[in-house]
Amino acid sequence: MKPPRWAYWIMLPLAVALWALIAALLKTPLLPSPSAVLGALWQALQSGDLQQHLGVTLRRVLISFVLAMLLGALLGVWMGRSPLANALFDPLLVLFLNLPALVTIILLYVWFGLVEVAAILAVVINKVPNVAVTLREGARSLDPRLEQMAEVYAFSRWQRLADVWLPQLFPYLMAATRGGLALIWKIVLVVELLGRSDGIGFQLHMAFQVFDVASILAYSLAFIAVVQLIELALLQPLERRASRWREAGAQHA
Amino acid sequence: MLELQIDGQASGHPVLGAITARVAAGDRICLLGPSGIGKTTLLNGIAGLDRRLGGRMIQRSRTLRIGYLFQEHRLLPWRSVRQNLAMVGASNAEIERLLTQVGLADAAEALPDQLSLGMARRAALARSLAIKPDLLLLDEPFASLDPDRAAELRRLITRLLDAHPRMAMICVTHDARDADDLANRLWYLDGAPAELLWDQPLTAATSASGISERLRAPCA
Repeated sequence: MKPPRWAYWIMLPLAVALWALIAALLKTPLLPSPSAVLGALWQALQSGDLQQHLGVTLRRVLISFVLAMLLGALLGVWMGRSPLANALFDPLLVLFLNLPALVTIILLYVWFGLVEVAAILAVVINKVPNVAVTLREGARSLDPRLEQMAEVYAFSRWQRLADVWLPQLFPYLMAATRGGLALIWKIVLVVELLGRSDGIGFQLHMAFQVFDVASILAYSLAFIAVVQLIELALLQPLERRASRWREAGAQHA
Repeated sequence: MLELQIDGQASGHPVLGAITARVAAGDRICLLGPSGIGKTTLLNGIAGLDRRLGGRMIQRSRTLRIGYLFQEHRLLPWRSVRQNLAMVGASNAEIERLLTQVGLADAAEALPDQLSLGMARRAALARSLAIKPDLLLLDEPFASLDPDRAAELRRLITRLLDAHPRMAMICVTHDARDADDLANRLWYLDGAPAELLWDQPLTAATSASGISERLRAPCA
């Protein structure tokens, strides 16, 4: 059963109202009112700080996301297709899946210094195992009957990849993308907090040192809004486009 | 000419035994045999899909083109019928001609899952002809069709075979009457591991129905 539309618009305003009420009662800078947070957001926008640091963070998210998806997908598909590759890499995968992100970040900063490469590498190392596990499932579910068809009709390597594999792997790629974005931007903030001198994570660090809660909340809200925008403007339309063929079967049946 | 030597015993194949046969241009073979005996396995072997048999079991020229109509349509469900035919290298004009031949001229832009079972099978048949095959493999083309649709498809395949007299065909079926309608030669596969117990031309005097009655009787 579909819930009524207004059901989506209850809890969030209620939470904001409750927050405003408590803030008004306590009157402490440690819990600024919603309007104070909006003020801090406006100020950060006016000074250009928000755009600059948001840009830097988004660039790091984008680079590490692309690298992690590429490496993870290659590794995962290879492991899904080849039992030998799976046997070789599975123990490593288990190790890295259970390695805390913080440990990777600290070690890479210790070994390479507080440089950009170490920051990106730390995020990639944290994300590749998740992508690989998801894409391994996808590769295992590839339809062997379509493989035979592609073999008989002598499909080129490119046709096999783009026309046979990719549409079947697409739901898994989307799942890895969704999980990836959510995880990666959180790790990027930690990486920035620990060892970079720009980005949202660095700004949060600065605000933390002076207990500037309004700025912390303002930066967080801005980032949540941007990530939600990526979901609505990029991922959902892409998904709708790519899964149109599935509806054809559903209508017929 | 396609020379077919399948030595499953030598390669330790679980289903196929030693099979030796020749397929010449224009042969229209129906492959009969009990369910689960390895008819589809043999077709896959001929199509080069059975790795366990290795390449040397089947001697054929490297340029031999094989069109394979699988039991399921195995069209790419995310591509239209037209795109599925274009994918194997058919030109636009050829696609139009083939789809008209199989009665799907109006369904070119449809997705495979929007078609009925019979239509999807005809679309897959058009694809198997689109590569201009020397050898056409048909795996139970009439299965799960109602009698009218099956008869229609039989007439269509007969027409297509008559239009390509050089093309050889191997058609797996469990109904000897299909063989009488389509084939000029009968293979009968039986045993474990499976061997060709019968490889004979069909004439007016020796009908497939009669032969398969005899073969099904306990062998003396």
